[in-house]
Amino acid sequence: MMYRIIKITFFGLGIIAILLLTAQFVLSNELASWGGKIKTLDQQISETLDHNELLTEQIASASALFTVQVKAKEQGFVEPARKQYVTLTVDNLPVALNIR
Amino acid sequence: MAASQYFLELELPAQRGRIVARDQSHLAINKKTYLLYAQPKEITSLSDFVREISDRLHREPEELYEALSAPGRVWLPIAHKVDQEVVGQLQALKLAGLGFEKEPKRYYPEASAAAHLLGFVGSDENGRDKGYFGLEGYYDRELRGKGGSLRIQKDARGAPMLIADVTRIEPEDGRTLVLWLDRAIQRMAERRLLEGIEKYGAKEGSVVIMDPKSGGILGMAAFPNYDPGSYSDFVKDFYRNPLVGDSYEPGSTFKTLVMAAGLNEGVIDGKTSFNETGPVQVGEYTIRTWDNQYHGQITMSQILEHSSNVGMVFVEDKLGKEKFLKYIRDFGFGQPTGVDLEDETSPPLRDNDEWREIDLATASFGQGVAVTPLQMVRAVAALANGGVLMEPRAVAQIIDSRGRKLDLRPKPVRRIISPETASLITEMMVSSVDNGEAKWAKPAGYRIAGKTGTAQIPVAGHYDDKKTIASFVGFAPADDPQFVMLVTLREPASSPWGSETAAPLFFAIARDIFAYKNILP
Repeated sequence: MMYRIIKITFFGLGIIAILLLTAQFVLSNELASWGGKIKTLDQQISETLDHNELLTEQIASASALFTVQVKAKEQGFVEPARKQYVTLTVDNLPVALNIR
Repeated sequence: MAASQYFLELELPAQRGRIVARDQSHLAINKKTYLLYAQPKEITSLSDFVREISDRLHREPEELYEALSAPGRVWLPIAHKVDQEVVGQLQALKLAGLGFEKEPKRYYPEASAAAHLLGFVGSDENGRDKGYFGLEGYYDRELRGKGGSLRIQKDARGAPMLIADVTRIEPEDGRTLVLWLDRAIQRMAERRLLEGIEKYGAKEGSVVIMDPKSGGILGMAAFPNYDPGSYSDFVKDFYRNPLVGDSYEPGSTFKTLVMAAGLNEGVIDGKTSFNETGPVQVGEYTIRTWDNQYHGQITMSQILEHSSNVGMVFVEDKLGKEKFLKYIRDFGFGQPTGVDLEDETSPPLRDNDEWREIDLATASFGQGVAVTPLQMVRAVAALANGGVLMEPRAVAQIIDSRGRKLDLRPKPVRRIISPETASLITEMMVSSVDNGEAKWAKPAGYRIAGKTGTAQIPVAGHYDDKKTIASFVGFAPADDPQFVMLVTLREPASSPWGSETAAPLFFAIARDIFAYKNILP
């Protein structure tokens, strides 16, 4: 009886060991190929970052005041000959009232 | 060598920090450019290679051919910081032996705007990027950041292995500088200054605009100018910021400070009068008014309105030598302001015992004493903000690569005059604008405190009576100053007088600022 138990235990351990070795072999093989995938992902990240950088550059260039001035002129905006101020209120106009 | 066969080592470069204006618009960023290099052993046709490269990079073909033909060469840099467009053309050719490595280049979207404030990025002796002049120079370490590294095991194909030793030190990108500078005010100042230099036939000109309460520099312009993106195309003399690195004799603008000193000490007050009857003798020298006109009994306010040199000698005499010189030093002259720009200098002040009577007399109206424009505007800012000398600053905030912000708080240096004195001198300066020689140019409806200045330029030990530095310093609105500004024009040809050149230029810029900041009359 005891001999049977020991026999089954060793057999079971053997099966488990083989399974674990197989699993390690398969997993290691898989992981080894992931290096290439990681490289691809890293490349994609790098390309996206590069693109962002390019967009930042283009935004900075497009929003430069000189560029805005040129575009404004092209679209017909002109500088006023004289600056004028028009006020629509009189002095002491309340901005908040209690109304009964 | 063995380790290099199974280890991949990469340098992770840090990005240089950005410089942005108050509204977060970019003033200095990094542009994607490339280092082009050749691997001669991999080139299949040297003549084709040289022809394609030299055409696009404008290099001498013979020189390139010789360099690539040198025996034993395995790697040769061909060109640094090449634009994306050219790189794209070369990549399309698929030339064997040509490689590309990212190498960022500093880019200034606003071109030459605020060039003197920004400085530029050049190379150090090892070929690495380094900031020179202005903010790029002063904050070079903060902007440069710290490179990182990556060391990882690789497989036979050169791909990184996931289950492997990895040593990674993250790069720390440079910090972002947020300036006090207002991009619109900067543009207004530059545009008007350029117009003014042309209109008045000046050789050079400068404008500095500051927030008197914080010391923050809102605008800083000087011509001749340069483009920091292509600094090597310009004369080196243009790199230095004349607003912090050059000195001049301030002339009558200095009278506001001497008058403030006299008021603060109580040796004169709003009711004190002076009998301006004629020239004043100081030792063997004769001091006259600028127009040789004398107005009899005048108040202290009228001394400023008439810009009376003899009146200022009276004030200086009342103050006495020790107090007079103490106030000059208290106003910050004779020492650097501490502004965060690389090229600041300060003309020294003589020791007290080296001042003769005539030196004190002429200094009372701003001749015989040398100052930088930034020192001058900072001193007048103290009159505008209630009497406190502030440390001028270009940078308002620093942001690190993780987004943490550090506010650089305004730094008061010392109180020079009382708030009451500041109010009194402000009224005198308003009166000087309203009733002085420049009143014709003043924008109607605004209370502007200011003073004209026309200083002769010292040449070989004497003053040239035809060459002047015309200037105007002032702040507005007088009751709650939003800005203090100094305008200088060197050797204006149309008229030597500040009232006819620098003053109208000041008022033109002030009008623009009033409209921009919605400051109503």
